[in-house]
Amino acid sequence: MKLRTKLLMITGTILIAFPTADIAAQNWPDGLEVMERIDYNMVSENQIVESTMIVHGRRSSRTITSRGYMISDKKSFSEYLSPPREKGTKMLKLDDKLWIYSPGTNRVIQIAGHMLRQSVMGSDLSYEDFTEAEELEEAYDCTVIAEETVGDRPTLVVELIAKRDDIAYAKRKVWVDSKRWIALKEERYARSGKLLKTTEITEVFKVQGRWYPKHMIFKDVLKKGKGTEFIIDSIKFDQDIPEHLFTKAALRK
Amino acid sequence: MVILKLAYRNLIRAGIRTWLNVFVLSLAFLSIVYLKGMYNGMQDQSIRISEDTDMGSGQYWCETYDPYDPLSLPNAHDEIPLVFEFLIDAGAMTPVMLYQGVIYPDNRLKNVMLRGVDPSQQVMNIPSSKLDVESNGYLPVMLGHRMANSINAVEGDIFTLQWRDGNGVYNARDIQVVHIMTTENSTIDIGNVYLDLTLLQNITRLENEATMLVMDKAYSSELPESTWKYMSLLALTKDLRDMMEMEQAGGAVMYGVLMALALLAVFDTQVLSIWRRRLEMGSLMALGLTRMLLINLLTLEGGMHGFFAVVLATLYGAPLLYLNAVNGLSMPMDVDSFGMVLPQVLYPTYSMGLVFGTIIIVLIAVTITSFIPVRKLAKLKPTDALRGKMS
Repeated sequence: MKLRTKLLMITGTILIAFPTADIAAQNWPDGLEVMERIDYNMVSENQIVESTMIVHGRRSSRTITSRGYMISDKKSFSEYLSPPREKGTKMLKLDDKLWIYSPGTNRVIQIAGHMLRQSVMGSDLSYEDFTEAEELEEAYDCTVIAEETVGDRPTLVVELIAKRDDIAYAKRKVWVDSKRWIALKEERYARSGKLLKTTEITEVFKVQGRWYPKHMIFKDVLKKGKGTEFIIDSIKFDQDIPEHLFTKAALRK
Repeated sequence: MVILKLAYRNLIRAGIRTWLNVFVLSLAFLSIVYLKGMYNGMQDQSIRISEDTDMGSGQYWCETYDPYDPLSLPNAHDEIPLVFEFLIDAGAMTPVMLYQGVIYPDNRLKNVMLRGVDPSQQVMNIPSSKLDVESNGYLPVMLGHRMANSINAVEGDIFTLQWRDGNGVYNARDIQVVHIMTTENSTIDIGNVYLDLTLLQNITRLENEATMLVMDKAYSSELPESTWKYMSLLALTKDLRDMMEMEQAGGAVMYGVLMALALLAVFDTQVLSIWRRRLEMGSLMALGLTRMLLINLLTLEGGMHGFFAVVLATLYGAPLLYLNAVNGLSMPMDVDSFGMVLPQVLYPTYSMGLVFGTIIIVLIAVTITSFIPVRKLAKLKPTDALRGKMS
């Protein structure tokens, strides 16, 4: 018997004896269902978040604390609380528009055009990352493509392929904790397939019955550096947030 | 004629006093011509460089392009109107596309302007043909030497370019620097990355679109009618000319100071001359010289300082200015990175208008300055003058 024929027979035997990834895939939940479960965990009427952002620079790191008010993912208002240099800086996002108020100049500036590509406070996040308003399920075809372990947690790898050709990232990959239904890792890709940005969630906590990220690391893969850490110090869901907060006038107050 | 001879003889007889005044005046005159020549040269060269490397004889801008509004730049592109196709094919104009992107040299983020140019174009004097190469799967790009210095790039370097295409989708590819061009025009250098226009159109999914059309310098036919906005060279260089005008206005203060110093010397000389020559003036009047002729004589003496200054400045200044005009003035290394078009060697332009205009101004100023102290001779009584009194 020729070697090639032998190899084919062995491979055939293995295929029959052990179900392959393709066969196992039929047991995975639907990608859309996974995303909806994440939404169920994460999405609320509104949120009030106090957070700390640690920006790692070349020589030193900066810690910036802020308080943010969010209504769904369309409206958000945040104010920097420290360090003293940034204190009082406010940011307002309404759909895909973004304004920033700097107390030093006492001016409200709309962030648009090339300014959207600038990083926020020197972090790995750009203003553009804040302006994304479309829901993932609406914009992407979601498919579970694998099962992997992230840290010690079992995850489902969901591949998101843009449904239209006007979605910012052509492809994303999300690693979803299959027990807690929370994303633990995300990769965003360019149209060419080049990896652009990663998000890693290294710690989660339970608030009002929901699993929520506690400690995240954002990284612009094309840039040198350790990335930007984002820590949720406290979060409250479904609070009474006054509507006037989401106006340009509130930026100067 | 007698007065002219007399004035000349008096000046020569005054010796060192005359020549000191003349020398100071000639220095002021020469400085003014030199500085004005420098400003004129700077303006002429800057416009010539801009015309040569960037503006051509004029440009057509797509309706959405406004270089003063950075917020409009992401949408500053449109399909090239059919009316221009014949002219583009004939080489009378070339399309240029401006598009925003981000490069990551040495993994550092830098916002750049991507400039899509046709590699075969001959309208702008830039080595665009260097972009017509295979680059092993990388996108071939060209940088200006200032840009390359600012990001420490050399030919052959590879780094990542990220951009959002016409639909807003992120894309990124590795680019390779295939050529570093040396250009005197820093505005098309600093912050710019050159790509083949067709390649830029493809990667941004904006086929057959451009931001502007640059017209060849030799193009003199009728301008086609289009929805695209025509910008003449005069309109394109308006900022540059306004800036030079402002600089010249600033320079005028310096001319004023220089002239004031020289004229003060002439004024002093005149005042002193009238005081010391009371007896001489009295004698001249006693001999029949009218007051008017006396005033003319002394004013002419003062005015002749200006004339001598022009002659002296021509003798020692003309060779200096000639050498300067031929060899030019090397600009310091940093000056060309100011973001304005500045030549590396500045050649002054001394026009006939400039030289003769300055001569006339100097002569008039000296004559007026000479006349002011002499006016009081109109009341001079010869008897008082002979007794050494000034009435």
